[in-house]
Amino acid sequence: MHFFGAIAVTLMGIGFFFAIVGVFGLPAAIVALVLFIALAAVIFRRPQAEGIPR
Amino acid sequence: MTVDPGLIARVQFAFTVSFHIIFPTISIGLAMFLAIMEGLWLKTRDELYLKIYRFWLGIFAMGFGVGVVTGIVLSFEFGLGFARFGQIAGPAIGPMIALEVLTSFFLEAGFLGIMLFGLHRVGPKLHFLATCMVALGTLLSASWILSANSWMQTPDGIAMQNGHLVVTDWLRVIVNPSWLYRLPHMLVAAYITGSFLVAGVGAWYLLQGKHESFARRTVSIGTAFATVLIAGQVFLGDIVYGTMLQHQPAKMQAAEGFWEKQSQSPAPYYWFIVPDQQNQRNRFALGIPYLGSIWLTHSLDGRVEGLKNTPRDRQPTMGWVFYGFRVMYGIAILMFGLCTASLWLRWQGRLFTTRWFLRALVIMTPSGVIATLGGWYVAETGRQPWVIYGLLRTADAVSPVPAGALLSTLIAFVCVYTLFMAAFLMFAWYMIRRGPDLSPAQTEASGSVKNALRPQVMDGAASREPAASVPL
Repeated sequence: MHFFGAIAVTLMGIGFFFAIVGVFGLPAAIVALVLFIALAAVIFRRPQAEGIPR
Repeated sequence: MTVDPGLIARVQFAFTVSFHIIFPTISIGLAMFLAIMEGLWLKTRDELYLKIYRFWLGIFAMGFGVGVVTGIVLSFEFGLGFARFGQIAGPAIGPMIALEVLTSFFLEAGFLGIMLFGLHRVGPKLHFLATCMVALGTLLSASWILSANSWMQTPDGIAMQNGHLVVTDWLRVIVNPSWLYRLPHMLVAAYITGSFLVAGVGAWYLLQGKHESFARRTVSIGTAFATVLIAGQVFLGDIVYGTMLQHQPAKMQAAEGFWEKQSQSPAPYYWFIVPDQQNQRNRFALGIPYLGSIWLTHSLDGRVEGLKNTPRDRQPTMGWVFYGFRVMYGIAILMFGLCTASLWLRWQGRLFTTRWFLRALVIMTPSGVIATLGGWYVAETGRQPWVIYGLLRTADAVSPVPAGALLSTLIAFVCVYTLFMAAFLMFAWYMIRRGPDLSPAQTEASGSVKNALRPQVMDGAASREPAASVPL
């Protein structure tokens, strides 16, 4: 499950990077940037485990 | 053996300015971070924010001090190594440097003392104001310096009359064509540097199993800031790229590592080249197919312009520009990847417990500084052979000073700056190892470094009343 999740996140990350860097044009870059930040802001609120790093 | 004074003057300035830029980058980033931490403490009264503030204040103060001292040297070097530049560009550059002193240095000098020593002596709100003013001062300082440097990259608002430069429009000198894009690019670079610094130290504490609540908060805040900022920086970087391609095509041609007027189609994106400037070709090149066309022309088969589009006597040296750009861009990609990973781990609730991620954060602690240095190497070496683009060549800007004088001062700078760097790293390491629990409630004016490091001074400072109990 972690493996497929990691692959999906990597592909999403590459997609966001290409879009933000302007490969699909300026309007798409702005939309991707806003979407990335909004998504990040939602994820920032998730509670985190506080155990020992492993 | 005859040594070219121009070469030594350039090496000397490159060395001193490369050393200098490390510290303003750190202090701009940390000043904003400190203002946010103190603001959060005032809003929430959560003591952890104050602890984070107190811990990073000491490292900020050291970086700020070294940055000011090494910055002053640069002004003198205009006279020592580049007097002709000062003579010609003085009417435009001089007032901007003076305005930097008037606006930012006066602001910083006025409030820095309160920020460092005033936590127990003034109310928390006035202290917060002092922190914000210092952060604003660092921002203004960057604005003026970027304005002066951007004017050298894209000069505007001037005319040459009888061999003398005359300012015809001050607004166009200050708000020159590249300043509006380069300033946010540099500021965001400094804030990213601060974010990775903070997150890296927090990650190191978590891996050591020390100061865990402090470490978790700093890793969380550092990676959150870094995630938002790196996305913004990737966006800004592309806009700066387009602007510089318009104003300084030779710089961007050199940055991509292509020589021919039109590259092959589809163009690869080179990550490693061995350029042969003499024969205008690469001896070796290693890249990713198609990626050059996709990134640089936004199509699958676009061609990229090479350096032969620029006459030889106007070409920068490709190696410096190419590798400066690759260092900056390569680190930006790593940062973006790590920040995306942080989002994935946060989603799973494993941000503080994933060892490989924390180790990666520790390795990336100085990444912002290295990327910023790479970016400045692109800016400065890519502008060559001009010191003021299209107006004054670097070779014509050098002082009529013997090579020996320049060499001896270069050696002196190397020795003194090595001491500065060693001292900074030693004290920063000492503070990090000591940890946030023993950070003094405020920076102590102890009179001597030796006295400041005595255990009883530290213990005494740490055991005093926390600032939260001080009434307004």
